Amino acid sequence: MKEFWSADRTIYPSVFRILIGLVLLVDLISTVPSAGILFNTGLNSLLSESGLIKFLAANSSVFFSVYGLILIAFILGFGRNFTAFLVFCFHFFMMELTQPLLTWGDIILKFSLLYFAFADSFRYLSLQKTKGKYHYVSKLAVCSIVLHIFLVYLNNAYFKMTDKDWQQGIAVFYSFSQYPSFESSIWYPLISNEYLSKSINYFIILQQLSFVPFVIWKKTRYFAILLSLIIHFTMMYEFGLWKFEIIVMLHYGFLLNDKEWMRIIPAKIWANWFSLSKSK
Amino acid sequence: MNPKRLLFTLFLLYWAGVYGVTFFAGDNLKSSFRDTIPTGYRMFAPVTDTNYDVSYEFFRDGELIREIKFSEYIHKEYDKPFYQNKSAYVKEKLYSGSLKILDFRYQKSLYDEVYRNKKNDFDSLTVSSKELMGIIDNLKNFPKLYLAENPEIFADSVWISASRKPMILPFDSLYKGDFTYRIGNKIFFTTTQKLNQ
Repeated sequence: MKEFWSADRTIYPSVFRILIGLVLLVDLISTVPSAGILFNTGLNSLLSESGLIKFLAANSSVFFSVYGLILIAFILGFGRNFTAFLVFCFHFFMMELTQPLLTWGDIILKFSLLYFAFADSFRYLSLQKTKGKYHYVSKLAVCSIVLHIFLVYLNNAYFKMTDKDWQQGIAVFYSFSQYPSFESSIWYPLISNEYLSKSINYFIILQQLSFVPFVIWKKTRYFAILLSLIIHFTMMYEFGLWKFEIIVMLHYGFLLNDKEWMRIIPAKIWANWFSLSKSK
Repeated sequence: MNPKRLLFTLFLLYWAGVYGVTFFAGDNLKSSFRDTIPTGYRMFAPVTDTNYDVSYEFFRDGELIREIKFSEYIHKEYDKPFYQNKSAYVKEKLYSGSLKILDFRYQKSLYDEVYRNKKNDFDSLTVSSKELMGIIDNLKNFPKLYLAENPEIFADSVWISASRKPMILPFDSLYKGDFTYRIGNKIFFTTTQKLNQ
């Protein structure tokens, strides 16, 4: 327990900054062609018609351009924490502008980006590197992201345990059935089997319930993260919710400390990209 | 007080508050904090146990000239190259993503009528509830987009009907877990729209 909370996590924030920046940038670029529908009140009656959101919708091309530039600065490491805070603000406005499109990934990311604005993610892979001692606020910010991931898992497990469909073991079938190609997918014969469908249902509850203790305990940490990655890759393939799944999977990186990351990634990459050797 | 200790105390208080509100507060208190702190992730999976579709019948001078189902239209949109998937996703969410809310209000009004002897207020809600009006307006907006994408079609009106179809469990086809199964497969909302071309 102590090992988990006291270990340094100075490397992954830099990796997360680049990867989450790229996810947001790709999502932003892919939204541009739909701006004519999204921000046209004649075609979208769910658009908020009040205050700042109306103004941003009317000037969506300017908003998209500025957001895109901020994301590029964020990925490159320009402007440090100020840029990180701007990314949080623009992500928040983007959520307000595209309310009907929101996924849980966006909502999780909203708070993670808020905590991340206080983290030092400019130590590596940045054009404006930070030097010197790792700041205490940054450590608390990373701990906040970890506690936030734990909250997501614990609350979800609790919700599932109290939900009728999950208690009866039929929730997994319903969840899969919502997607149009389900009946032609390889999952259909599996999920249509009562024993398998209910087993997967209860296994998911157990996995969410055990995630936090398994991650905190060093011996089961890799197993818990690997299992969650497999589940999210499966969901990404089957449901096509690439943004939500990638956002959740990128959060797992914060659960590993510097020593664990150095063990996973080859020495050559550390030497070339992180300007440090594995003997650190 | 040592600044480090002060920061750590604030950090602990904040997270004790977040976890406390998440697990112990009522829904009203939670919703008042929703925008400022993460107060719970009740990820609604399954989102619904009912499938929905919308049928659009285009008319010119009283004659049916084209009939489309939204589900078939959106299938074709998703079959386009992957970089256009977001456009398909946007259309799916705007024009059919909120049908479960419309159906929920329909179910609730019908349930109140059948089991609580209340007046069925669904029709009045469709012209007074801001939330439902937005959903219905988007049902009417889709034909405009469809005609803009298919300029060869000249229609002067469209008949719109939204239908519901509860999912059947293959391993327990007689399962009737809640009110949605008792209503069954049916068209639960219809409207019409004049089109100006």
